[in-house]
Amino acid sequence: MPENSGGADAQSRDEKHYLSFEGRFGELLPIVLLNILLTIVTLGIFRFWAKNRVRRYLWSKLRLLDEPFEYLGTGMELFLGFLIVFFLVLLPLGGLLFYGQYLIQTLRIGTGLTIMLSVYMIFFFLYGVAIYRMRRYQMSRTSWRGIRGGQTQSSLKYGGLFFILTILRVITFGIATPYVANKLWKWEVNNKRFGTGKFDYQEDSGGLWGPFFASIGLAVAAYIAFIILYIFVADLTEGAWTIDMEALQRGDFSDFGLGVYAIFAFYLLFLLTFNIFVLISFNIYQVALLRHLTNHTQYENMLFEINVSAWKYLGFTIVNILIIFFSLGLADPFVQMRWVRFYADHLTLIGVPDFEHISQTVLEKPRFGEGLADAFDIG
Amino acid sequence: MRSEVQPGYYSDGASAIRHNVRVIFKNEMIEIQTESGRHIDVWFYRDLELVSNSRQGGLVTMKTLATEGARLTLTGDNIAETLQYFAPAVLKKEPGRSIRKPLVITAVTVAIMGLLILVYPVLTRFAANLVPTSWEREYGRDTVAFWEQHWPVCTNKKGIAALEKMSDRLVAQEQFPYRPNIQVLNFGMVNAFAAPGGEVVLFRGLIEKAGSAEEVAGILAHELGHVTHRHPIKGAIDAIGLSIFLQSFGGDVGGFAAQITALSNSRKNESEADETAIRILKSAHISPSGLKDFFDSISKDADSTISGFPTLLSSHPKTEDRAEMVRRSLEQSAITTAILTEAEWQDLKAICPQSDQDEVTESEENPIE
Repeated sequence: MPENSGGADAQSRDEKHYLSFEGRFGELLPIVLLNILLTIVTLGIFRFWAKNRVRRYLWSKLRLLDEPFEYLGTGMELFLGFLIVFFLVLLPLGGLLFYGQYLIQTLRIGTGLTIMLSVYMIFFFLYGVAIYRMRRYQMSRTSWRGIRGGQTQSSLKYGGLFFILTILRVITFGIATPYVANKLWKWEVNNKRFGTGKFDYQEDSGGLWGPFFASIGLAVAAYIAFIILYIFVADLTEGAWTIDMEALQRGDFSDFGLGVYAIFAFYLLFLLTFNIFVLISFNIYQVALLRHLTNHTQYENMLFEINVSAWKYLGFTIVNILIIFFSLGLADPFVQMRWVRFYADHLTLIGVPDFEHISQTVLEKPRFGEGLADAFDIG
Repeated sequence: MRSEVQPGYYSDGASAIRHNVRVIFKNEMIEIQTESGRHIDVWFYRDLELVSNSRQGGLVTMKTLATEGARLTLTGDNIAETLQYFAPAVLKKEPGRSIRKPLVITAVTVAIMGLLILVYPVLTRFAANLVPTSWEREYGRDTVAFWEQHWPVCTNKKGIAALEKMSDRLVAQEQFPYRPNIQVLNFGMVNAFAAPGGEVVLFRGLIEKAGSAEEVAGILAHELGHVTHRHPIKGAIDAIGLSIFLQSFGGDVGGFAAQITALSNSRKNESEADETAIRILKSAHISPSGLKDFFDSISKDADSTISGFPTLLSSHPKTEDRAEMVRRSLEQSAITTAILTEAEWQDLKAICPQSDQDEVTESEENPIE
């Protein structure tokens, strides 16, 4: 299929394309199983290569316009990145924390607390830095048609932005969340590159506030409903809640079973269903956020569009959570694959970039990039 | 049925545009030409690497090690057979699915880890020796001071005198890097511990529980065993080392291994302290049976609450085993003399003030630290 260069004509501007994903559970499973085995045998060291194998597989199964993506990273890069961060950041800061703890234990509380708080502030700042460095590393290791991605600007700047915006969220009790999410995305996307082409995002957070407050409203309503329900049930079953304290003190455990277990079970159930309701409430905002951020992102006049209903997205999220929960985190690669498939199923690319004018990136590849992210257990 | 000419897409890695090309399969290489036959490039089979094999779409994308960025996607109908004939090795290495490289990485890692494990005890001993004695003493004093805040030192003069008589006789039997400082704290727990720098702490509960002065002497000798081997500071360095290297290096798996190792080292230390205790007691002509009696009495208590605590997760060897080890040493007993007179023993029992005692709490395991 010949490709139009200089795709400026109206027809190609409306062309729709889709990602196609061929990854299969049956193919990923042996990769993951070997990963788990070798990670245990090496007391965790193999995890860097394990991550790499999964990424290489997933990227290679994703295609656009019949051509695959490619992941060019290596496990060694991840490992060395971690070593560097370990010796230059973790050890010194960890040492300071230890020292601060020691000071507190030996009653030099003022100094000890100051040291510990400062270290936590530094960690907090480094968290944002870690996110950006990881993005840059992964962008630079992603290629399509041999052209690599990139992420410009200093990760320290992003770290600072992240730091300030998170504080903003805290002091506004979370109300600033849509603004923060939009601003961070804007910063990241406008610095994102593929070859010499630029990604672009100009939207403000306007459209997010409706869904956000709808979510909050729903969550508050759920909370109130649960309080009422709790009071009602507690009242109704008054007898079952009493524990005979005196009997316990005598060492008489015969009555122990029902009362305490019932309370425990009810509390757990309450917590579980409440969390599910909060999740469902905020799904409204989450799906709106996904649509908002994606649909206003562009790459060289190519538009993106996510088409997914709130219910579908909710189901998708819940299944992901269940998978992670019941596999104790071991099945994370399968959740990664679900995400890739999600984008293949729901993302439309509208228009075609002018490939003739997009060349290989001149950005330097960072040599490492995920040391901090690994240390903070991000991604 | 294989073809020697295949259609495909080609991008050169310098620009994102792709070209429709003809790929001619020759003996050692493929030649890439434009649709009109103009030569673009030549790729040798030995340099080819698979980027992606789309079995569904019948597309195979490759690159060459000789040129960075260039990509070739073969779109023909029978491309699999063609490749199988001309360059079978290419299709075998699918991204993320190799097994050889992971196994090599694992082997090398395990070998290096094995080496580090061998070297580790030497390193911790070296690190422990680097710590100046004054630091150790200060650390030990700080540790005890922390406990003293809640549970003050017992200061009854006669009790202290009895304690000193007992400890002097034991301390004289052994070489210590620093002079041990033994104190009793007013806490009902049945326990004792040694902190770095020679600080030994016995709790009031232990002295109350003991049936004779020989039992207390046995425990004191055990703690002195920790002091002479410098277990407390070594244990601290060990814990730091394990938590740094295994835990933060190795993520979750490493953390778990760190816990198990720390507990194993702790058990080794306890056994070593037990052996040293027996040696100290014997050379002081005190019967080690007191120590055994004490183990017997706490193992009886443990049976009535939680028993069968898995040894692997315990910081101390099984109390029954410790009692057995002491019992075996009794066979060779020589002449022994009492460590304290009956009056002195009563004085020791009264070392702590009787009035402001806290709740007597007995831990289920009653380990002697």
